[in-house]
Amino acid sequence: MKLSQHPDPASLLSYSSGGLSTPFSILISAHISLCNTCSEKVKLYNEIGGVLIEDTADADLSQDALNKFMNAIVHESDDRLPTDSKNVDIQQQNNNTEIPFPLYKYIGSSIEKIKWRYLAPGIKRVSILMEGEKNAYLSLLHIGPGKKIPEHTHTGEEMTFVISGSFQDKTGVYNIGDLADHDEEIEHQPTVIGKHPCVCIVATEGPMIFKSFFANLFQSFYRI
Amino acid sequence: MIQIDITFVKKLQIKKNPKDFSMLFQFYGPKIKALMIRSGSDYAFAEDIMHDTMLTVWKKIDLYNSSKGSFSSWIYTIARNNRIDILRKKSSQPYVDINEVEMMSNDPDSEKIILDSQTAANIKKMVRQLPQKQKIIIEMAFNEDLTQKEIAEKLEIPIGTVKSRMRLAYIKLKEGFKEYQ
Ligand SMILES: [Zn+2]
Repeated sequence: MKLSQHPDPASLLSYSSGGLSTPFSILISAHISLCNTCSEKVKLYNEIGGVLIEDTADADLSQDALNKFMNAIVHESDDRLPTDSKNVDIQQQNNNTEIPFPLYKYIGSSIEKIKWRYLAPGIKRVSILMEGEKNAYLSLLHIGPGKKIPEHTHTGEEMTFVISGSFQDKTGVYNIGDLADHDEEIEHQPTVIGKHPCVCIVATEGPMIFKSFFANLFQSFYRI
Repeated sequence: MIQIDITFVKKLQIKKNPKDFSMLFQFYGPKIKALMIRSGSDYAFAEDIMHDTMLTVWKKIDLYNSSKGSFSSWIYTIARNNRIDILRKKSSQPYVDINEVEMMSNDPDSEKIILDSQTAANIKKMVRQLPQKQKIIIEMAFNEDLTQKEIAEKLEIPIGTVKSRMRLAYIKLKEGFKEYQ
């Protein structure tokens, strides 16, 4: 797939080093499952991790560590089926869905099956519960053609991954598979372009707070 | 010290001989544990992650693909994923396995990075040669497991500076990479 909007290389480095919270890692995973350019970058960053492992001075292991390991592998039946069959599943599902496989376990494998909730005219949303995440949020948005995502603020970073349709903001046009990786400072109000609605998944640090009165009204009922 | 090279790894993939795995364990086990301690885990927890990581290596050895990265970087990603799994108590960690991602892409612009043992050695050299300002940030990210925000706070610099140094480090690594190809 030819993609035009990629994550910041700094975000890819943090992804590789394990320094992103789960919602952001999920979006990066979804993008690199479709993007050669970025998966090559992540490969390069993973090599840094490999170098650091090799350069690390050894720590002492507990006395029975090796025995424990040898016991575990000797008693472990040489059964590789579970991982293999899982991969086949993923591949098969991948062939008949528009949702990239790293998103399946969070949002399911079909846009049609998503149970949307009304946010504002032409805009629906679903919040995805992130267990164990203190301050990172994941939301799915379904925005009608020509609609603007209501103006909103949040305390930190934001990333948006396009599942279907297209949107545009002052940083450019975003199509399926593209990822918008915006700095805190960037004020933006994306508009859905084209004939179809745009389904996107947004990771934010801190909950999204909508600015307009109308959206605020709903904000009090549904936290997005 | 034994030499863990691609010949050794291929041998493991053909036959999962416990004796060979005990050598692998003795080489990587203490390093994984050390890395985990440096990133803030206590000794017992670090050893648990190390143990889980080596078991995953045993189970998944045939999924390792040398054209997608060095063996050590593969081990690194398994250790990282295990740590995240346990810390966040997730049944499934949020990472896509680079080794398992097969691109459907025919994107002519994407630059394929072919990794072999020679390039892995070159990357090692390049990481060591990074300008100090970039190197510190990379080491804090990978060794100490810090987020961009935490690095910014620790070094008392804006987060934008952390990001731009990370980007610069990438450009440097990439340049060095091209030189060696
Ligand atoms: Zn990309």
